[in-house]
Amino acid sequence: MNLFRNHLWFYIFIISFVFASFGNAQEFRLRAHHVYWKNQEANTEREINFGRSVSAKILGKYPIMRNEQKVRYISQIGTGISAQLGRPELRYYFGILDTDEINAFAAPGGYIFVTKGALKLMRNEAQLAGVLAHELAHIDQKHIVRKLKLQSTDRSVTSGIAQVLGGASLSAKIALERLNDLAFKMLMEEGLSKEDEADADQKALEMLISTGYDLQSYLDYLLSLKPYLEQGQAKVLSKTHPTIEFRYNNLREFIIKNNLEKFQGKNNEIRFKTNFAKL
Amino acid sequence: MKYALRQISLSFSIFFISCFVATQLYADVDHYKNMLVGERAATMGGTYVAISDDSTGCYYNPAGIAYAVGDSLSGSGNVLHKMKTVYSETIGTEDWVRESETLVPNYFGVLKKYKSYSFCFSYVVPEAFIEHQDLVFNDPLSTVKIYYQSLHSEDITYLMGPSGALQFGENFSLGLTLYYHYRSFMRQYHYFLKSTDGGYQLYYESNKQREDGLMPKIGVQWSPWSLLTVGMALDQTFLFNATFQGNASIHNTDNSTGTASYTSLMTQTISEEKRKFPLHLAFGAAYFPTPSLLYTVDLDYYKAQQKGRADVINYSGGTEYYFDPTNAVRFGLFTNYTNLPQTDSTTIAPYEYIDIYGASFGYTSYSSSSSLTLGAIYTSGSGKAWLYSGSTETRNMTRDSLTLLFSASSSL
Repeated sequence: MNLFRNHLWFYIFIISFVFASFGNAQEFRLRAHHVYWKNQEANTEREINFGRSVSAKILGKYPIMRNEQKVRYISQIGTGISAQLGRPELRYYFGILDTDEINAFAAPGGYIFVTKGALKLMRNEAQLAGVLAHELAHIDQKHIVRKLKLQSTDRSVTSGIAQVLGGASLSAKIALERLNDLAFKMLMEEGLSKEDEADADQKALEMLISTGYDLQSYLDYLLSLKPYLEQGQAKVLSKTHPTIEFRYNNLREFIIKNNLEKFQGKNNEIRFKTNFAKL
Repeated sequence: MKYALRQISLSFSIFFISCFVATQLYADVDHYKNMLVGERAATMGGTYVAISDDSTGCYYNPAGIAYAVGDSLSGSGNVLHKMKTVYSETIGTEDWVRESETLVPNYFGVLKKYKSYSFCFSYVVPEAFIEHQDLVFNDPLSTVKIYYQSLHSEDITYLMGPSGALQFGENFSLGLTLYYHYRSFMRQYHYFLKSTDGGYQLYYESNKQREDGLMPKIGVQWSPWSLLTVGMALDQTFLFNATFQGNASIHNTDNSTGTASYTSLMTQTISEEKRKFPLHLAFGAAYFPTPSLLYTVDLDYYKAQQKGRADVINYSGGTEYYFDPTNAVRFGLFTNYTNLPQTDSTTIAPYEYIDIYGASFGYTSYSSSSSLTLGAIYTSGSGKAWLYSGSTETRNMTRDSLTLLFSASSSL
């Protein structure tokens, strides 16, 4: 009895541990907002990882241009525009693909690439801003992820992708590889829906207005694509995007509907040409 | 005979009125749950012993902070805490109404979470009573022409200090809080009474008190099976300083005998007597059927340590429901029973026997890293008051309070 009394605290301590070992995990204490934001964070992380692997495939097809000054310039323009978006959890990365093909790509999670061919065609910074804004809109609206039709029953757009990306099993890895292929095919061959492209164009205009860029420059850039599409110098672009007429008319309609004809924005032509004098 | 009756009547009236000073010297030491603390906790009727998994847990049950989701910073302010006490037909046939109104931010806490242990520093105002009252009664009694009363009182208790909690395994935690107790009380009371025969009475009183002490609190939480947690917390406040100083003076002119006589009396009271706080043992259980719903109940047992106080058990219950991940509502009910012993025919003034019941409601809007809560707490009670010193005569009394709560917290 005395021995028990002398070591009472020790026994209490041991009993506490024993009690602890009987129970279950306390995940049930997490409230709805904890669960929701925890899932959001996890899904974002998985979206970024997915986008990174899709980007790796893009970089497998096209070499990246290693010109620090030019990449810094488009990153500055792109980052400025991305501040208009509602996804502060993402960090956006911008790169130039060293190919004369005219195109731009957006991979989920914040990875954006513009080709050297597209930059050569551009006449000012407003046109570059328009192209970057269009790609940013694809990421913001999760167009690729949505098109992969991975929505699950809880209506979380990326939770289906999360199921695949979160798995460590061999089957999950195979499924991930399959998803990468589908996303890459979407970027290079199938394209997104007409609606998604029209949506990205309209959102691009909204971002240009917010950042004070000239809207007409972006429309002019679209028109300037037309001969190259007809001559086959932008094969991927022509396969993956609606016709220039469709896109141009869609934007004109948007401008008229919102009384934006008289909107005067900057185009920063000199700065653009200074940065891309030699391409 | 007529003269003698008049004399008695006047003396009695003056006596009746002047003896108010003996009642309710302090805020409300007869009840223990006068202000609810926190955002979730307050809007669930202060029912939090089995939950306590945010910085508010330092006050309710420090063991709960071991289960905090992450680091956080929380603060709350009672936008308005208004209390109204009505004593029926107390000044002649007129009611005496006492109102208290405070605007006190009553909670602030910062919590740091590590793997299996958490630390927190919190500041709590569990009691705040501020009363500014100026009353004039014309002809309240046949022998009293005018009665003017001015009462200014502030009685605020502050608790502040560190907490720590350690998780043993996944389902058992132990927590400790050590609060520094500081109470500041001041009261200035003045009345002027003029009788119909020209006599008058002036009374001034000034009291102030400071209390310093420590309030250790130990708590445990255990989850015996999934979806259920139980908690227990034990605390008691020990004072090491309680300096009271009271000054009073009364000046009286009596014309009732036909010859004016003047009396004046001044007194000073200095005391070091320390209140003995009750031993507080709180039990709670919480059931979490889904991430959108929880139910919780608490039982607070107060074991009286001071003569003239009785043991009390208060009950509370609350529920929380999320409409969606960003919008939640809460509801709570609680009791706030008096800690005075039952009354009988020998009970004499000053004495107030009133049990209080409360309901609370709150709405919280959540974003990814912060939350904003709006809430209201209403309490009501009715009972008896023994107001006139030395008398067994009672008056009906009611007490109602409304607290509008505004609080916010943010993840760090």
